[in-house]
Amino acid sequence: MAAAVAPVIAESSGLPSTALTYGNRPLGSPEEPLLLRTFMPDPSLGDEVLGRHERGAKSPRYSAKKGSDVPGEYKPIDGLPAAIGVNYGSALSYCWDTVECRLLYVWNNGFLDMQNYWGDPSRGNRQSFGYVPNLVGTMFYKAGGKHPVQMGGKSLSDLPEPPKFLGYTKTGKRIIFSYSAGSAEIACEVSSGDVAHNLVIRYKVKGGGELGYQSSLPGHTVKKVSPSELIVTIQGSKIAQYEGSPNKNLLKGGVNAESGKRVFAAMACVTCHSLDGSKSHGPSLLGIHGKERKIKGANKPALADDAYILESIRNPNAKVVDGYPENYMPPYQLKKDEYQALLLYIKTLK
Amino acid sequence: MNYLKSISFAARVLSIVFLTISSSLVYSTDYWKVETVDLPKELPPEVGAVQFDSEGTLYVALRRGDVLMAKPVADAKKFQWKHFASGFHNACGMEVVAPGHIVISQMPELTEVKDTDGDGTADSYRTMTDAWGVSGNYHETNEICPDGKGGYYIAVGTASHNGPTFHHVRGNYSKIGRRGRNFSGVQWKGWVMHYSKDGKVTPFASGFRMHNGIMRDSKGNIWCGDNQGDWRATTPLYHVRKGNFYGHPSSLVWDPKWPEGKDPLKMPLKEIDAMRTRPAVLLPHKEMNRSASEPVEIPEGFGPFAGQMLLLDNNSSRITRIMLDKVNGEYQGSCTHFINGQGLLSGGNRAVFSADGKTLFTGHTVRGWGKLAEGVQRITWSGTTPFDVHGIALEKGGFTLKFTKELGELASDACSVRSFRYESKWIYGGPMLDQRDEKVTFFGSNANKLKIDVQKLEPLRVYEIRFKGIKAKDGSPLANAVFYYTLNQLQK
Repeated sequence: MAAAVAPVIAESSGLPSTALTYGNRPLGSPEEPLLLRTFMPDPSLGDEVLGRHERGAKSPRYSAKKGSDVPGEYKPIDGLPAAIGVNYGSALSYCWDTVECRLLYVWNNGFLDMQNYWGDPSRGNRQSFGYVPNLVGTMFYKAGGKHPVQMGGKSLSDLPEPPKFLGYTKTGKRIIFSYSAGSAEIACEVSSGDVAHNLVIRYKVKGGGELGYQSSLPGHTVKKVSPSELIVTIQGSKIAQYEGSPNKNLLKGGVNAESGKRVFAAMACVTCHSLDGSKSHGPSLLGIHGKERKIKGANKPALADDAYILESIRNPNAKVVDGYPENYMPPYQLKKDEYQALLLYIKTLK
Repeated sequence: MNYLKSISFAARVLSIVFLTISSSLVYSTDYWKVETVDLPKELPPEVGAVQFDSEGTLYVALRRGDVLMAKPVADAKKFQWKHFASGFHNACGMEVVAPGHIVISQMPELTEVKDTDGDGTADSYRTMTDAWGVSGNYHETNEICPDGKGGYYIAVGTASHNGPTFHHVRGNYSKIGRRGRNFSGVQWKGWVMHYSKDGKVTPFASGFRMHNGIMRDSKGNIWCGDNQGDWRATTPLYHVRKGNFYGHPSSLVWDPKWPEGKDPLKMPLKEIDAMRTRPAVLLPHKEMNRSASEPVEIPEGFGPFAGQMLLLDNNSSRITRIMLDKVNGEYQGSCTHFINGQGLLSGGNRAVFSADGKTLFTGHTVRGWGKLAEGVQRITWSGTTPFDVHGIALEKGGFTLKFTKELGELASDACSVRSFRYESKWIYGGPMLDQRDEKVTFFGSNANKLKIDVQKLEPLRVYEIRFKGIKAKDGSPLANAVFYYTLNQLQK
């Protein structure tokens, strides 16, 4: 994969090495962890673990042009809306959730591939419908069952009021999450253990109540330091391997309108160009090929022939259709055959 | 037909002309200078928010999650940026409480960020409120402004059909709210919420689409722009008041008084129209502003328009100037260009004035994947006053325009008036409807004032006032030729 090389933060810049660059695979280090709030991947955690989340549902497709529903539906996708990703370099990555107030999964040898959210730096644009990054590395712990933390012998999943996320502190390499459970305030710190796939979680409670820990998963050792402090050691083992964003060959099956449709979808063109004639940020592509286009600042219209359409993708500001903004659409960096396929697809939009 | 009036205007009375002028307009280029401020080159300059602290340090929130800070210096290329905080999900709102103490509105929450150990870097990130849902849709960004009493107003944006929602969402989910182009599948999308100093969160106003920018003016009024789109025929500016509904229906499902099962998208247009509060100012999409973002009040020291409002355009290299007019106790008013081109980046998102009022810093971003509309710029006044319209006041039967300088001779075809209306409905954007040329029955000047009488003024229309060849007495050309006055109501 011809992944663009991420610009490295120069030491002289005064910026931390964790500052987020154009690179899609941000990383922290054991001394300087990276904490990233973003949509997080949901590796099939299931309804019990995500018990404090509400369920989304499919929704009828809607046309703003017609002002009514049209055939088809929007299907929900997997993702965690308000979780936090933390990375300590190759040693440890974990996902901690602010809704469940709980560690959801842990992996190493990588963190997140942000391409779905941030776009492909080599192409200069986003390339997906969803905004959920892809995992990179080896997952070795995944939450299961009820919330393992207990107050007064009761799992936090069984408390009438959900736990409430209060925030976190980040000092040096330590990140400590806080949440309330009833009248108690619980602090949680996750770090890697001495051996591979080993994890140490420290819990401390303020405000009374006895802290407990009960997990149905194997490999847990619970050390009770005091009624208000626990150290849980988890020996995980490999659950799954993730490779980041797949290197999709959009032109599988040749250069034709069908593969052009895949290019159109992958580049998220529809975000600005409708296919049904309705208005959006850019002109609709319905019936565009062969039409005369009124160009801003030009005396006579331009014919939207093959050359015009290719130019409009490569260098969108060369000719801006009257009524649309300049310097808005980024120049798209496609492979030569992808331009051709996209053109063939656009020609079918009649 | 002419109405010859003998009034105190020491002006020539001119014949009527109906002209639609398409000649090129003269825009100010010598009055305000636009410069690009360099950020560290390694970082994508997708600017979610810009604010100053009390010591004059500029804070810049980048949408991937970092917050930088620097003291502005003379050379825009040489700001010494330091890293202050990180880890925010699409930080699109920021207020600085004190040096080293900021409030960030990010997608899932409002966060208080503090440097508690004084090392120059934030270490405490406390959730102030997460009283809204998160559906997994990229479009649900938030913006804040202070309420003047230690709390905040939070503008909670809707989701877009150009992105999905998740199987598991945060907060209550509404199947009805999820319908539509821009939608409100989880709580408080399309609302302005109020966060009081004691941490209580209450719904304040509904009916917004993408009020990407909220501001409290020096009189205590709250203002929001919105983006042209569904239920927005053109870009509006709203005077936001408690309990009002501003026309985009999806948010209504979260109104505590909303009947269960009622689908706002299936309401008759008449019913929605009767419920809604109209924009104080409508900004024609193509002509003025495609997508309003943060409004900002002009301070003293930035030229002749102190007290007026500037409104950034997220989709064009423009900034709109708003001239409010209070008619029968309600705001309405007019707009024209403040900056049009002149090296301004597209993607105008946030703006803040320096404490001395002399410099406007603007933060630009579109969606973070276009490089033509990202960065920080600053705008400074040259000290020269342009010849321009300073304000437009509605009178009985016409308008009085105040100019920044004394008017010169007026040609007979110097002024024309046209009007049209917009319709708010489901469709994405909408045309100027019932366009008509208006009969100017009188126009004449007295020093820096120009009176224009129009034969028939009607409420709920936008009046375009267009000038041709007007010069100041000192010979300066008119900086702007076209003005749009939103006439919600006539003078009683």
